Amino acid sequence: MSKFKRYLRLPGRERREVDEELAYHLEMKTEQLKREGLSAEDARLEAARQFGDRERIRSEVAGLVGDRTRRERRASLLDAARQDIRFALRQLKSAPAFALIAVFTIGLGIGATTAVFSVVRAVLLRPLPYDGSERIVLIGESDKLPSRDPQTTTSYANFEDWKARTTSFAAMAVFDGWTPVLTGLGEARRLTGSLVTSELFDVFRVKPALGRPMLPTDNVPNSPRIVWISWQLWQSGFAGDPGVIGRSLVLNGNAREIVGVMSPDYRAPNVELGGDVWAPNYRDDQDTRSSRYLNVAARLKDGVTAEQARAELLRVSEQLQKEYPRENKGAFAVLFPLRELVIGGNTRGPVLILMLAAGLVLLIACANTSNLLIARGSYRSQEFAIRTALGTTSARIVRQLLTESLVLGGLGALLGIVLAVLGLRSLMQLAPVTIRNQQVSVDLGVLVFTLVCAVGAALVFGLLPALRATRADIQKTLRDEGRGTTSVRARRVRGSLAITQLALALSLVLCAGLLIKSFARLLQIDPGIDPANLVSLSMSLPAARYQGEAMPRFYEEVTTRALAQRGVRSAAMTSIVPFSGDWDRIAVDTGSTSNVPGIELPEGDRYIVGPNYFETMGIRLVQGRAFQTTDRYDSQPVAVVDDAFARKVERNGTALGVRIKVPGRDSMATIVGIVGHVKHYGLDAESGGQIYVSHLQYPWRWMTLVVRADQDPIALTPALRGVIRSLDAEQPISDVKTVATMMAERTAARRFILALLAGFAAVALTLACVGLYGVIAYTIAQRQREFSIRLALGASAHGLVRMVMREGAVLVVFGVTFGIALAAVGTRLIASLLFGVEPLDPFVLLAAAAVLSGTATLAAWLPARLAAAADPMQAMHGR
Amino acid sequence: MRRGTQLLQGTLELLVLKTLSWESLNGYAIAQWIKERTRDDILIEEGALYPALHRLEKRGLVQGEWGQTENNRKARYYRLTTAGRRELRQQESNWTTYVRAVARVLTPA
Repeated sequence: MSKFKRYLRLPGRERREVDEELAYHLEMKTEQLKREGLSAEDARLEAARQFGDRERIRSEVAGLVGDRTRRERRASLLDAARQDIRFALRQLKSAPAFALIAVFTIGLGIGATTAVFSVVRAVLLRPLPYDGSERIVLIGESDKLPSRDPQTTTSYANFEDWKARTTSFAAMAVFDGWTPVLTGLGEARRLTGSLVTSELFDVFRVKPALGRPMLPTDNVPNSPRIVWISWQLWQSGFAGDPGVIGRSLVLNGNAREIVGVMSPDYRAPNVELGGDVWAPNYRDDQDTRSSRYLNVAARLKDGVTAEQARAELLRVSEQLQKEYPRENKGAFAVLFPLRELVIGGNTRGPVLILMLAAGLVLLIACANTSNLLIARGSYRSQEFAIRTALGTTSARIVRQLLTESLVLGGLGALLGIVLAVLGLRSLMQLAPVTIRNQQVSVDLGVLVFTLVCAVGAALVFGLLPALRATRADIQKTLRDEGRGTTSVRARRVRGSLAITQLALALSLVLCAGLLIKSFARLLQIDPGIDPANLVSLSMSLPAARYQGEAMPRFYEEVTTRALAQRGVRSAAMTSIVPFSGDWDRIAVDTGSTSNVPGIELPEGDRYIVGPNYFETMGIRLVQGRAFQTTDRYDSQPVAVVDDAFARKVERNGTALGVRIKVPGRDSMATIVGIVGHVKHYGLDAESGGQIYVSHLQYPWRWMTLVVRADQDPIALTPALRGVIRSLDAEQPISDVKTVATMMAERTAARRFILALLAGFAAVALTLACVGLYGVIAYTIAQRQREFSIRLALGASAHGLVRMVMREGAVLVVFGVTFGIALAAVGTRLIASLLFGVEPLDPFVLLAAAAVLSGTATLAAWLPARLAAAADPMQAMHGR
Repeated sequence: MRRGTQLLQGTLELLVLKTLSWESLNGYAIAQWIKERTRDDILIEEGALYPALHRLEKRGLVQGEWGQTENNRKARYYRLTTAGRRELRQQESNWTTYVRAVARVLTPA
């Protein structure tokens, strides 16, 4: 640093002092030299000579002074802060009830926000573990724009055209979930994997750690059978043998050559993107333009925005609609971020709503604490008046009070973190799988958020009371001899805070009420099956050993032996299980429409089942007959449909006798029975209808055994596993689950949101009532003298209570009114979470208002009784 | 030009501390006092006194304060702090040991 700069950086006062000190020395020296006989001019020169380089010395001193003063100032600030904090802690200790309530209140608010924020951070904010993950998108189709619920799949033909006709993407690939059975490597088991095209690895920027990458030439029909395996499978199955390349893996009974081992860093975002094995996907004869079953992932080119890509893709899909008006009718290509795949499309909204709700709880907590502080401020008005009289500036008092608030906020944050950590643990048990799979924890980022919340909250609840404290009239306060003043303003401020709390609490209670009613509505829905004591076990027969009728024979034997087990009431096979999340959507030709497959044909979910499936699942027969063991491969194919699908194909008022073409057999199947509808996709979801065929007539490889037990079905599973193993020791068994669990999983997201929101509403209600209690209790304390005089003059105790209650009632009425107004806006936010309930359902609205008014009135009545308990004599004599 | 020995590094601070051990003084008075006591045998660039004083103040060994001189002028006075007194005791004994050791080498017995 140049000499001069160091000097100039010094504040004016210090700079002057340095100059003065040096000047004094030179002056004295000059005087002395003059006394020794030098001329004035010589004396001045000699003094300067003996002094040395004045500029250098001045800058050196300036630097030292600067260092010292800066350090002193910092120390004094720190010292003051430490003093303030010590004083604040002493203050809180002297009012333990107040401190406890305040810390607990803030702790609840901060705990709620911290817990929900850790979910938000894990689910929505933390970057996905892929290089440039924000540039990875999924492409789907939707029949409406803007798309509300995009279908994530498309056909191979559309994918190829998208890829060829767009320029926005650096890479684009299809992937399709694949769960082959691995044999010949320890016990037979089902792997998770994916059938993909080569660019998938460019989309995710993942390279094989060993072997070669997938090439476009691998994605052609009849290419050699090859496979890439995961690092984990390489370690567990091949002990990390570097010579694994070239060896073979038997999947679904076919040997595939291992050509690569995936990088250990790659973690698939979901099952469809693999886990253990990847094999090339290719377009075969079955891939018509309308067979939409492939997922598409793509990476945006650098510099291309998602909006540009979306627009380009939309243009291409509109071209395709024109070129293939039948197959692509209403198929608009849509783009969405990869995160949607990881967390499920409908997680973002609910999580943000929960964040908002938690924020409201914190806001109520702030209002509550503010209220408490104002009340305390009035008790402490004497202290402030005396301090002001003794010369403390009001800035100093504001700082002291804000420090007290920050201390409260800090203690509240500590409690909040503890509550959040404890709460998260039980919260995660309730959470749906998409959230449970994320690493939700109170990490450093969350703690930073908590700190910001605590400081923000402290400022919010502390500023108003602090400013109020300094505005008091000292003279008046001191003259009042500590009786406190009945400030109309204070009462008005506290009243509006109470109203705010009540209004916010009402909107939360209302939202919780709406969700509860939605859930109740949902549970009233008939699922179409009886889920009690049902358990499912999935199997898959390898093609190498089972062909044609060997498959139903095996499965019939499994059913018979399972039925022979003690505790088994009924057993049957099925290709898909309701509520499992699996589906098998088909379009059926009824012989009346054109022959182009898959276009404008009635669609439904295909179930390939054993003869006693309906009986086992508790599906009721509406019309006609169920399957019989006499419906064999060589007899006339028959089908059973549910009433929803029946309506789509019925002729002359009935679907019985209608012939439909079900994929798997060339001949048409005759509908012989109609059964009740099953809510396959969940109680709150639509499903297009069901088409059942018998596995005796439509042999199927991948079947699930469903068993209805007398009691706990899980206890039966070892025996059932034994049954299957006894028939085929190499048969892997997967997805052992009860149907009740699967159903619960479908509603898990709803239950999660409901539980949280109900919890928040309860906390909000409690806090708001505590706030109201505080306001009323405060008023009574302030007006005790007045009440005593009234009592002495003959007012009835009852009348006094009524007078106080009237004040409470006014607050409640205002609170409820504003709350309803607020809810009119707020409930619209949760409209997408409601089921069978209007956002302003009058019943729920009334119930919520009643709950709030009821508890609030109770909160006002408790202190109001004290008004009448005043002893007139005591109060008249000034306590 | 007067003759005199160059001041050894760090010695000035010791001299200042010693000077202040009797009474608080301003910079000019300190310079005068040292000059008298050393009888001009040691050459001091007077200005160098001030960085030394402020360095001592920064270390908390002396405390500076504005005060009035006898003829009613404003000057900055320095007094020794407790830490300064302790430092002085330490440095004095260090110095004596040092001087004695050097002397032993220079004057063979």
